Amino acid sequence: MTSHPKEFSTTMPAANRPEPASSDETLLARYRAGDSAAFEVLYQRHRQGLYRFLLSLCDKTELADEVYQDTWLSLIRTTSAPQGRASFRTWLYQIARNRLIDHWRKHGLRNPLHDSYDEQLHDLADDASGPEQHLSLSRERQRIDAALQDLPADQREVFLLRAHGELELPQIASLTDTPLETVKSRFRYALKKLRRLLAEEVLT
Amino acid sequence: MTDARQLPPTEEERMLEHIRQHSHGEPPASLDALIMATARREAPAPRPSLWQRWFDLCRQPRWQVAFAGLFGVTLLLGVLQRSPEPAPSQAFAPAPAPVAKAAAPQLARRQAESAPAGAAPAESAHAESTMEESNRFELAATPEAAAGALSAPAPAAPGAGLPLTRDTEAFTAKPYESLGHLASFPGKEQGKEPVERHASESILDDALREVLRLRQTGQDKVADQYIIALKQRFPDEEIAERLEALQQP
Repeated sequence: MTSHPKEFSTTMPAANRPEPASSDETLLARYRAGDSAAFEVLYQRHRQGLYRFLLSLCDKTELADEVYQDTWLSLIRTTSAPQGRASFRTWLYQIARNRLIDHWRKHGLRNPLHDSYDEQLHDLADDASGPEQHLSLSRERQRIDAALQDLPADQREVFLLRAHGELELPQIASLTDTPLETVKSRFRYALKKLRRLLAEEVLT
Repeated sequence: MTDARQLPPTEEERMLEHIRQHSHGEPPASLDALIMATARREAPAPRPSLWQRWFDLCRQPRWQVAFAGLFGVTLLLGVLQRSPEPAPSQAFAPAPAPVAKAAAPQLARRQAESAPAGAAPAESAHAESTMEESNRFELAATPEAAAGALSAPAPAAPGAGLPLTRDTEAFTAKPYESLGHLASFPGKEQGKEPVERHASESILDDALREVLRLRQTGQDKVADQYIIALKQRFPDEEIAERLEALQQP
């Protein structure tokens, strides 16, 4: 498990965030028309959420940096744009996710996001990562990191896309090419497990 | 069936906010700088404005030629449409009587200058007596008038609208249907080179044959006018004898 220095995020939830002056799609179009300042706004808007999503998903700083850089450079160099009803945010996180999966495949690693598992089984208490492991964690952030890493990979992915990508569940279903009901189920189990893990740590 | 909406929204939002607030991790500053520098470097060139693109287009040689050609054609069409149809000038129409009378002395004086010294008085007197014909001959005798006769309205004299020219070849190749041809032909035969004199005689014979043809077709009046004109232009020639000689088979 990776430990990080304590740092409080200033990220606001999407509901409390003021309406941006320009939509992401407009900023992308302006950048494609030659307005490099539009890209700066776009980058500042998504840099933190995307990086935290990757870092929490792969739990390796070097890999997160590499995929994060590949994602943005790919966006800069491509001439394509979000298709259909897909938003820029969905498109960006899809690029990042695909880059990460490509990395796992390239290095012969098993893709944890494609593991099949029993939802009910994962709904049970995780004995492998019992409360003893978390007792040593003294700080809240480390507890959260540990709780997130205790989640099955596909549940963690859905939760991170919801938390850091601020995507709605139908958008996550579209991005991961997963049925909506499955995404809802994964999110519900992830919430339950996180709540239990964090509560257990507080109680203990 | 599971549904995330079954959870109390406040609890879900509270959990998400808690996770967001305690999440960590920022992209390194070097990564930010690299990405921003790449974005600035590889940003597409701004599209020029419409006027700028038009200006750039006009600077290309092939478009310059195309635009210049189009401009030239437009200018030509504009000039052609604005130019009025050239109205028949006074010089091409039969002059009114006062003008003709005023022009008669000038005609006589000009003919006197071009005629031999001995024939000058007779030439002048004859020009005054045949003022109407002389006026018509004078208009057709000048090169400008000859050219203008092409577009002149239908004249009263027969064949007056036919081309008139001083070119000898053209003159001999066409039948003489205009008195202007005869009037425009130089009357001074003495002192000319043999070749020119022979050509004049040949022209006279052709003209007399035309007179015969006119008489055969019943146009005696026109034929008489031809004879008068021929006598003016060829005073030294025996018109009647040559005419009789031509009548003989």
